[in-house]
Amino acid sequence: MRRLSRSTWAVLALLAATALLGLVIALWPSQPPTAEEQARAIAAELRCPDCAGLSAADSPTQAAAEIRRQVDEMLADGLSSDQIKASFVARYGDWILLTPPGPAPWLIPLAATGFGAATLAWWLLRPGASVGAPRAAASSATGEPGLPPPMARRLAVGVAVTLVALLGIGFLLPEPFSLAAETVVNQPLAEAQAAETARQAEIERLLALIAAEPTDTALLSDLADAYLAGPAAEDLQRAASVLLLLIGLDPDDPDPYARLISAYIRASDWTNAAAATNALAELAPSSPDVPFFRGLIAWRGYGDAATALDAFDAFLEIAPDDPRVPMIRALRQQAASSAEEVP
Amino acid sequence: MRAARWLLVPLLAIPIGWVLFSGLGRDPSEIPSPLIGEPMPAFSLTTLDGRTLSSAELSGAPVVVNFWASWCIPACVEEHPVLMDLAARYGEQVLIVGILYDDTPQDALEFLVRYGDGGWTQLDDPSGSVGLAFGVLGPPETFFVDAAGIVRAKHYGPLTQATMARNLALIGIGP
Repeated sequence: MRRLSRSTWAVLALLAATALLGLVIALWPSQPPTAEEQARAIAAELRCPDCAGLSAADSPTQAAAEIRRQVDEMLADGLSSDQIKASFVARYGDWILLTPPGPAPWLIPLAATGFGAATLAWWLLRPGASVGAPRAAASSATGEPGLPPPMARRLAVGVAVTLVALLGIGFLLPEPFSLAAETVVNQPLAEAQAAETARQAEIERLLALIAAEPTDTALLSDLADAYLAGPAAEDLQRAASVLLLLIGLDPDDPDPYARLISAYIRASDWTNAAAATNALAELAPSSPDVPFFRGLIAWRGYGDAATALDAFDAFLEIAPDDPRVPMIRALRQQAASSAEEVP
Repeated sequence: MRAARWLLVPLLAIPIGWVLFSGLGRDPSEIPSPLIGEPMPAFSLTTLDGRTLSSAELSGAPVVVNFWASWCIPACVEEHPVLMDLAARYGEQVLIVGILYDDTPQDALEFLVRYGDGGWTQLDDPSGSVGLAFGVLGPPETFFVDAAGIVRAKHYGPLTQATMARNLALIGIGP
């Protein structure tokens, strides 16, 4: 038996001291967690349902806030952490847990590492390994300088292959074990962006066609629709200009008015909305759009419950089968209750 | 020894390949819902026209529960005509219930003005608790509940005529 050198003793002593320190830290008596800490810990283990890779503790969405509220409530009712998590698993499945249950997430990397180590050991320790493969022997025989000995080279290749295989397997494994599981594409956002790109392309296409055919009402109408589908205030302004152009081309057509008025209403431009509604009333006095928009403008724009109620009633009388009836009923109820409050 | 080594290659490659490629055929957005085969979660919410509706009133008929939002564009806009068509064709046989997901009644009503209101019940879920009870990940999501109140299917994303027909068949509605 060889005597250990002084530096080896020093390393061993350092290792022992580190292990002891770890043990002390791990076993140091700690304060029992407060309800707040407990709630946060549980929410941190639950996935936020409608965002990418965040826990319910770290996300600002309504669903995450509701999860936090329900966790608080269940804790107050005396449920255990496992019972609370189980109640969410019952609705969402294991997907809701940021760490998948069961031994699989721990076993898979352990098994892969063990398999790699076993393969490496078998390769290194099999008979003849220290002598080297024929090719390595041949190259050392020619006396090429700088070539590492076969054993070290095998070790390096073996470690590299094991690491690459581990990473590869980790990333390619199906959810929820994949290392790539956190990279979730925000699907609604991607779709909204794709739709916006398509809308811009449609606008470009229509503008090119209109440049050749400036008075084509069908093209202008499509252009107005494309602008109306946009999210920004300037889209609404452009839609309004196109619709005004359409009205200028054919002053007797009531069709563009409804879209023009909704564009003004969406932009909260109540003055222009009211003016356009008056113009429509002259053109098509019996159209249900007239009381519809009058009511909407009076109630939403000016908070004038009495005028709004009259208009809503007129609309319900003219168009009892209109698809907008439930909406107007709801608005009418709001206006009616506010009219009662202020007699 | 040499032959044993060559035997090792397929022995390793086949199971690893199987594990890796079996994941390719799956749609990553299809997370199976644990609610399938279970009773529909109970709820009581206010409709957009101010009434209170509880899930108990829905028993006895097949129900289509659609979670949607006015900000869910284009998916909720895309599927809207499919729901309108459902209301027009099977409105007598099936109850349609829309539940707002993280949305305000005002914005929802504006959506209905723009894209059409089929007249089915629309419910406001201001706290999001009903969406959570159904395990909704994000709108649109649609649940198909049979006449006994058991959830038979869940559809993620916008409905098409084909997916609608396939899921309706599961709750006993069809041509």
